[in-house]
Amino acid sequence: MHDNGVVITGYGTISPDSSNIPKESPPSNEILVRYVNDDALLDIPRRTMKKIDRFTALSILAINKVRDMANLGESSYDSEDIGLFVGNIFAGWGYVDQFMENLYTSNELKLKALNPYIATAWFPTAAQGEVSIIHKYLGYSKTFSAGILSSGFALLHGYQQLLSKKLKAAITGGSEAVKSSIIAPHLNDYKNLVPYQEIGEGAAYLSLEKESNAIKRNANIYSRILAVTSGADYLYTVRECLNKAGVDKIDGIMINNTEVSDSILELCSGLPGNKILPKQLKMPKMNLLGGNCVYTIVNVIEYYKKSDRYLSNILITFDSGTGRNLCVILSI
Amino acid sequence: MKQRVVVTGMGVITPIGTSCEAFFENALKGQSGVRAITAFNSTEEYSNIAGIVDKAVDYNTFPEIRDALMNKSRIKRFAIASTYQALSQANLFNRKELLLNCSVYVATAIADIISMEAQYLKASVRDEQYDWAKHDADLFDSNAFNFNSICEDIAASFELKKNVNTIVTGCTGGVDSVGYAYRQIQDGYDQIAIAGSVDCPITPFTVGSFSKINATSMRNDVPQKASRPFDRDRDGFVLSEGCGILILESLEHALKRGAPILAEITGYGSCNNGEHMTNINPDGEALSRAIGNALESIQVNVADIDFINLHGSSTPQNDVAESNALEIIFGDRAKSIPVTSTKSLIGHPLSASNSIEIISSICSIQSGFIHPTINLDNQDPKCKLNVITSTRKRKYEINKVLKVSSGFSGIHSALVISKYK
Repeated sequence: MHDNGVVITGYGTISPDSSNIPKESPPSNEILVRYVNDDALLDIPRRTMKKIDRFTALSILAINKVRDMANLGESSYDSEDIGLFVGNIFAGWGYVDQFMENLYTSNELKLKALNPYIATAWFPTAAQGEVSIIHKYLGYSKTFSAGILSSGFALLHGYQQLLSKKLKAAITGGSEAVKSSIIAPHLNDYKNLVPYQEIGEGAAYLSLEKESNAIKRNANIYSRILAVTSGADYLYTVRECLNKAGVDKIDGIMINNTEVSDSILELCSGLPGNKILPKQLKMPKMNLLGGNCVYTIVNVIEYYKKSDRYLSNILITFDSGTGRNLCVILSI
Repeated sequence: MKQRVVVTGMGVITPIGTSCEAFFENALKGQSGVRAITAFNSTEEYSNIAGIVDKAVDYNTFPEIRDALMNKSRIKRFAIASTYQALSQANLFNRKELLLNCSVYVATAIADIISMEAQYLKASVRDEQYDWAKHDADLFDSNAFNFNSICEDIAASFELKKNVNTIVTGCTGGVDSVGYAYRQIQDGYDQIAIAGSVDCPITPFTVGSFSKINATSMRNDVPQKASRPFDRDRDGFVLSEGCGILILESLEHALKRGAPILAEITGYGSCNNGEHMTNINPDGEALSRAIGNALESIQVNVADIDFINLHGSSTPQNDVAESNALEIIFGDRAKSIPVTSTKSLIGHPLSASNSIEIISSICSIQSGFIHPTINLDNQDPKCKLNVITSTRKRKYEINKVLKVSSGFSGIHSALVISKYK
């Protein structure tokens, strides 16, 4: 048992289902954007939905799944020992769409046309606030915006807080809702981010706990997090992650920047335990924006769960497309 | 081993000064930066006043960073100009070799809302309606909707090569940004980082949204009297704009390069109240937990706190909650510790308020002076505090300052800033 280890004891995602894929391909200069089916939001009371944006709703739904899977009920930990770490890029423009229209509907500003919940529904901190109220997560919590690394930074900081014993459990991940006429034109900036073929709205979250605590409360353990690092220099960030993880072999790698995959393969192949080349895993084709990093991690865990190939060290790296990187090593 | 974390540079853009010296000098005089909004026509039934930076912040006023400021939106000019001031004070401007490992962890509550709102109008063929934003919006910045774009621009302007991560925790953002950078450096993940916060929220959308929920003051006829924290007749906060940037370094890193050390960050705590998105429970219990965490993290004796820069937003609920939170932590001493509210002078520039208040607190540590809380004509008996109101300079021995902050989403944060010894 690794007393200092951090483990994943539950995960949950909400992402577009196949029924929402348009039958026709989009024009070649536009990226395919997929939305979560509105029916998925029916689980949230209508009274609540009146006050929140979709990105918060998606967070609530994904975190409900995490709580169920991790059996993280109210008796598991003191409320003050659980933190919430959220990633998001664009905030809640879907909620604002109609009110902006009303505000500027004539030459005279119609400030009265605004809705009283805009101030708390629109900004990226909304998900942290609403979820902390619903589940009484009273511990140290933060919301980050770092492009497609947003949920990665949420994961990194939650992981760090467990290592430094400031928290006993952390819900980490991110969400994005892009069903908005205001946001839609700005998504094309993300179309060149290989290897993603489509943008999806949705949410992805993990529950992290110290391994000793998870074992004590008989929680299922789906993966151990061996290290998380971030930085600008890709190879340095990966090397630092390998050093911190202290592993002698990497069994699988998943990289969203194909230009550096040979260098990473070479780096991993040089580890003493790597008799054969690590298996190259394919990134999900969908970019979940603010929830992207954690969505990818959930996909990796699911893949290994289905394939029954446990006890593998997996290295996952994310390139933001703006010169920043995040690297995670999991033991599954 | 935990690293000690020090502040080596500071920069501000505020309604009462666009340098640390000018800001603090005017703060000590009790100058107000609140005036009527003239950029667009609000309705008389809504708040129509704000803390406004009148002085130009552009490539003419900061010619050394001309290219970085050229064609940038107002919020990005504020952020870049403040960062330039801070880097210059820290002897880091143009020191590319030292900035390679510098991270950017600046906060914003609502990011480049001026550009976002103007771009929406442009796309909606309502050209005539974004006149108010023409000088301050970047109509062509496709990245304006990305909340991380301000930090990305700071990094690009000064070639800062490490992490770029925006802290988006609303009105506690300034304390959270400094607290986040403090923890990253303290735990050895970073050696040097840009922290602070920026917001430029004076737009129809923002003014209307806050007015709609009666959060902002309606004293439209007397703008400079509107922000009146702890006063019996306060009626809400006054929206404002500004930026505060700090350079945080590990002590070891700062000493090694002979950097000026302005203060030390010695404690940080933050929590959710889990109760309400906007209302703050007047009992102050949740806020006291954040303060307790900040003090506990360095095992500070409560008797060591010499001065408190409060959130002091001028809303009926907040000011009472703060008073009660201090009573929980400090007991009877809560009535005698000197406290002040920077928001009485400049209004409430959302996340930017905290970092400006941290900088003000560091100026107090350095000078021994505390700026007054203005407009406190009749102190609310529920605010049992020793609020400094006098503009007559009195010297205090200030070794440890507590900075307190609360915001929407039920977040409370607190920071302890100490004289470097």
